[in-house]
Amino acid sequence: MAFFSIDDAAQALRAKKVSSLELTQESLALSKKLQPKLNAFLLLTEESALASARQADSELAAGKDRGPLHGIPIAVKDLFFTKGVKTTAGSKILADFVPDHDAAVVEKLHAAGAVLTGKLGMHELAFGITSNNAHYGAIRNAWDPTRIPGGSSGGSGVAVSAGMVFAAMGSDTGGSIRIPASYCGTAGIKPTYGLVSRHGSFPLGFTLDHMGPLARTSRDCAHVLQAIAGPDSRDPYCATSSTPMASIPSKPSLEGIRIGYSEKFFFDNVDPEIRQSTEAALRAFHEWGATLVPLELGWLDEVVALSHVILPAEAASAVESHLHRRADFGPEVLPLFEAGRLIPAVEYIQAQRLRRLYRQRAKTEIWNQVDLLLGPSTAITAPKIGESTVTLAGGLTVEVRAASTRLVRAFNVLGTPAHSFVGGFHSNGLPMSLQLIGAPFADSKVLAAAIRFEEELNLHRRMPTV
Amino acid sequence: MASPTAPDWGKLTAGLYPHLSAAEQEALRKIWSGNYDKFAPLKAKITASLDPDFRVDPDPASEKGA
Repeated sequence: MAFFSIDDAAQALRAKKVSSLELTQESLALSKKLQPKLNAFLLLTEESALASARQADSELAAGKDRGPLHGIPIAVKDLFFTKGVKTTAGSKILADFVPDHDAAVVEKLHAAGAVLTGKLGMHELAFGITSNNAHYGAIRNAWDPTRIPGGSSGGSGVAVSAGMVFAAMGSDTGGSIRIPASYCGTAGIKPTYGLVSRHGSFPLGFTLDHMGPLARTSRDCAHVLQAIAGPDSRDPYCATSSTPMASIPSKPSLEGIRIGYSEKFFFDNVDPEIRQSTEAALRAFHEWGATLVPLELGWLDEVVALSHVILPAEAASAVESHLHRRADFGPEVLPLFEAGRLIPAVEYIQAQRLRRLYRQRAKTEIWNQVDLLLGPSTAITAPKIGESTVTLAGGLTVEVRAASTRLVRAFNVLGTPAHSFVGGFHSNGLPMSLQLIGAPFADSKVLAAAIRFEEELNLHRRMPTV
Repeated sequence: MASPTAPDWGKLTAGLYPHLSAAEQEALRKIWSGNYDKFAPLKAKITASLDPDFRVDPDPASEKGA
């Protein structure tokens, strides 16, 4: 892979050192080469990708520059509608579905001149964190193919980390961008709820679904987010404000930035090396000018408990019309959807009432005190495919699902931007990640801090050997 | 607000899914009853004036940028 980041490739395109066609051919060749080993893709859209690449080259040569994504190979999770192209959501129940329109994010990526190379595999119907798909096979981590890439945007994490594409679209309902970003060693942002339109994406949890990018750098995530964010009247929950995201300078300043941390929430039952990595990151941010503020955030576990009511109920409603086709659901996800139908309406409404209370509490106890929160994204590094528990150094045994989701889920309920990026490497050779969280619509501030970390330490530049 | 007795999850499961095996019904009952145990105590925080929050409303004072 000749170019590491979107910025690198964009510069080379404009300097005519490479063409979009060459970038796309390399992307498709590598994707095909790695497909038997990693199973990242459900479908490569080779013909249309090459056509888009040729168009990008013509436009750039004629002086029509659509921005940093112009001519850049990108792929999308298979829950985003792509007009005329099968869109399965990783499921058998939607195996033959061909949409007649693009998702809003796909429209915006096309408008930005991105070259869409294919549809990425995922956990079935986005309801899981392993991407071990009963119908399409296990997606495998590029760092160690015996391990999960995380989910549900597993194919997105793998395709980016292995260098097949420069960025990939994912979705995050309970960690499904940040968990694969963590396990695959990429950057990945769950933006503020409503910043990116959900139009044309299969829902899992209507009030919890967030659409966002994974990429090799946080700055690349910012480029994609800038392209896909914005009002959309077709999504009734989309923010109506049209203020664009702030552009982020190189080595963004951290003067005046207050970063909160919490022993109780972020370090309970966390791998000791991940804890040390997070503590080192806190010291680094302080050295670069940020003020550190200890906070008591144990109550975020209560917010996680709300997600266990809201998500199953909403997910069950999303697929209810298909639930009679029991044999066509994977054995792992079917009970989760069916359990959602057991939740009484009263409990769901109570959970949504409590959600307002906790959002107010977050404003008072977090966003009135600090600009950002910093913690790990996941409590563990990528587990083996099929593992349901892992034992940490020190002998503590943790359940994989809880260890993967506990630190990320609260921010789906609160709707605040949360970004995962590489914080270092474990003694087991696997990436460890950090998570920066901001107040609603402070997505640029979150990304700026992560960009500063990456530009200072370059820990994110290590790539797996595949 | 005081919480009433927890629903009978076994009865609910059997009523909604009579066609499932006992083992399948038990698996469903365990998923939801486990989640409910963590959620139920939180309901004591609900006051009469608290409205549901079905979407995240942006704080008007929030900035869009660094």
